[in-house]
Amino acid sequence: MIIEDVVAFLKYVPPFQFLDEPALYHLAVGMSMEFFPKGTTILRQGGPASRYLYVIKKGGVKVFRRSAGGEDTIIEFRGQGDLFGYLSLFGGDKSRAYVVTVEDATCYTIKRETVRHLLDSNNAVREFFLKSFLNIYIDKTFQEMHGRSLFFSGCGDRLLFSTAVGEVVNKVVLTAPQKMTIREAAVLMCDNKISSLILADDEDKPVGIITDRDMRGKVVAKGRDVNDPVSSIMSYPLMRIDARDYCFEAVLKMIKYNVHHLIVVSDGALAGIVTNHDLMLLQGTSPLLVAKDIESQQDIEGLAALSKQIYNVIGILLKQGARASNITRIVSEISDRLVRKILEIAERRFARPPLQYCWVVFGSEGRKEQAFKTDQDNAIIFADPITTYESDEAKKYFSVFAAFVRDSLVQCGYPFCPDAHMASNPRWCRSLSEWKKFFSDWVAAPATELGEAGVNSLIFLDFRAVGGEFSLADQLRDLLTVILRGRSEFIGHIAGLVARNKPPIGFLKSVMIEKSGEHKDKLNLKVKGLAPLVGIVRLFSLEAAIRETSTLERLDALKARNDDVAEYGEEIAHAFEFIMLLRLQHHMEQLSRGQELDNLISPDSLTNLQKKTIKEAFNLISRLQESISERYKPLKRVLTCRED
Amino acid sequence: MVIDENMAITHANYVVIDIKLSGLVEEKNSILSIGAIMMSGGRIELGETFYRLLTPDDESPVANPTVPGVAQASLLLEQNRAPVLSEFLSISGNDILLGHLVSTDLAFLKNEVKRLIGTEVKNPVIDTYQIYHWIMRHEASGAFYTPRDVKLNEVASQLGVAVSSNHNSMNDAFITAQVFQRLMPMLIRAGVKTVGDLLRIGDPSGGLR
Repeated sequence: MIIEDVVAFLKYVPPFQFLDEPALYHLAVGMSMEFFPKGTTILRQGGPASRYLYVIKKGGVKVFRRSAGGEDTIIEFRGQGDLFGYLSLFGGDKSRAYVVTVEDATCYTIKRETVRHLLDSNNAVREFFLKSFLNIYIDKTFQEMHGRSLFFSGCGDRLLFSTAVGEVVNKVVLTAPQKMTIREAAVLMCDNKISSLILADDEDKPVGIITDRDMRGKVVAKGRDVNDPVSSIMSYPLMRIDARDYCFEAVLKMIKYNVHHLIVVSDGALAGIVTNHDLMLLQGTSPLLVAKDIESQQDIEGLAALSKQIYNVIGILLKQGARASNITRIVSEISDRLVRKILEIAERRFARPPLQYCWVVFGSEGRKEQAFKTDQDNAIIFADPITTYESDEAKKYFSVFAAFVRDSLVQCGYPFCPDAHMASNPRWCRSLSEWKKFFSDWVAAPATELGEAGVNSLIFLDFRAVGGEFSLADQLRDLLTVILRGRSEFIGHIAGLVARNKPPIGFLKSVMIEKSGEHKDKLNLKVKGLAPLVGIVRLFSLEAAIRETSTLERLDALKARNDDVAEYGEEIAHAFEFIMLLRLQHHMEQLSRGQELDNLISPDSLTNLQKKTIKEAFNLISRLQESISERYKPLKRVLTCRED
Repeated sequence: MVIDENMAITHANYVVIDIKLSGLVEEKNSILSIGAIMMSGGRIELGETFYRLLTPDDESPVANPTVPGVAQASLLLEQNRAPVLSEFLSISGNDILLGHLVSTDLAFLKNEVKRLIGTEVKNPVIDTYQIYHWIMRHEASGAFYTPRDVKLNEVASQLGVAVSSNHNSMNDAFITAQVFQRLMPMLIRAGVKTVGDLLRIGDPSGGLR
């Protein structure tokens, strides 16, 4: 009976639902059951790691982190069927967050060895935990991270997790008797220019609310008599929230009860009202602030000073547990603005350009996957000149212009590209027609045109407009789409390059076996991890004529158009996120130690779960490479014939 | 059998038992079933259970009205009582035995063990009924208090433990374990932290008067 009940419960709890009945029985007999009264601290941030995986059978817990300043940031509330404790169970020697019961809670506990065994023996379970590891915890902070205003300077931190409802409450709130007619209420709202009205009973207690929406939906649309009592259209129950609660909890409440307004109560008294609009404003503050900060700079020196803070931003985001792709997206956004500001300063300095131009970036910048500043990869596409004179003038202008931008970028911390993939290099500063010809020639003869530099040139396919006239870049992208159609040699050539960079599976085998000891070999996360994934996804995108340049956006667009992506898309995205995150953390660490940044990671520094995930990523890359080789076999033969 | 009285109650091992009898007269009646589940501190070990049904040693009918839920399981009855009792003793070891209104059950157990195996049951024993009322009195802090809830189900409901209608000794042992699990944090809050204290306030002999 006891075990049967546990099994019946687990059948509906992911990831245990993936187990068959005998496995569930086996799991259940090894489990324990614990009871924690409300307010019990089960795990303590910085305290010993969890010894069990907890499955909440009944009740609920609050997961939160406490900052050095003693401020609590709620990560999540978890209830029946939710898990906790698995991060510290595998992820290290201490707990990463507080877990405190918010009501009496009964939990099933599973021993670490049991969970480890499940991870080893069941793919679905492993996948679930890996995803959780990458997402659940890490994800939380992103949404408000994105809207966080602490990027530069310290302009407040108006964010969901640290702003009390009381701070955003709309204090202009009117209460009217519920006996009032609809028309009277509408007049009152108009006169006071408010969009909602709280209705009170005879004892002046709030009983409901009406909003503009109710007027529209329940009165006008339904043709209701405006002399009806307003109580006939009011929404209730009235949900309350304490002024001291965090906005995050207000959002939760709104979602949970599907309401758009909450009554804010302070010390038992009505303090005002908070709407979903107020909360959205709160989340949206920061991009504006970031922009403002960059916009307000007048010279390169000011920008250079500001750009140093990008590292701080990354540090903060990493610490808060943002996802790698979200960090790079935010950083790209900031870099783009920085570049645009530099272009603006340059245009002011050298007078208006003689022709329209587009500033494009490629490589990791083009894919919005840059975090720590890497070499400049940029180019200029200028509009086609009509006369030779115009052409000469344009080349003269843009060479000076581009050199200034290049040096400004260096000042802002973006180093020279050793291969001179920069707009200041005449090869990378061309008219639209010249660029079109460049691409046409390359696509027609992929193996010869760029010779051995072929692999590196592929990053050019990730070009993206950042400043100037975007339509120039669009036209180039259009052309690329057209000339690639039916050009299977070019795609086949790229496929060959992509399939060539095999992941070091053997290397990892030893990593998996050897627990410690010296490894002379280090893993190059960029070359062996990111590059193959980027390359594979780029190949698929070119095939499918997808315009997106970032790997994750490409994957998203490919879902419906590529069989491999339909099947492995999520895995690819996870692997990519994971390796990016590892690399970011690695760079952050090197930065804090004052070391040069590299992409070499020592296997000893990885946890078992990380090793396991990397191994999965490598297997995935191999599988995709095999699939690609298989698919392009016939094409290669054609290619060989041609060359013969 | 010495138990460390200074051990924290959260570190002690408990064997939570429930015993069904064919009647209350020791000379005539006997044990019909034993259910037990282990606890390590406040942790109920869900897989560590013991449940045996025994043929009555007396003339009383199996479907004794005081023993609900026994009749339907009669097919599984163990014919030989001594091995079952030995097995129970071996899984109990030196751990603390714990039951609800356990004194009568305990008297039968001690008696049968002595008669059939020839040894003494020396484990310390505590009664959740006693603990519950001690806590209630304590929380009423000196105010006049009359025990109302007596039966396991009443106490369980009072503490928020889900009860089932199936009162076999395995289920009841499990419910008793959950009752104790909920009492434990209350005990600690009330200052009852060591096994010694627990044995004093949970002594079954203070039972129903």
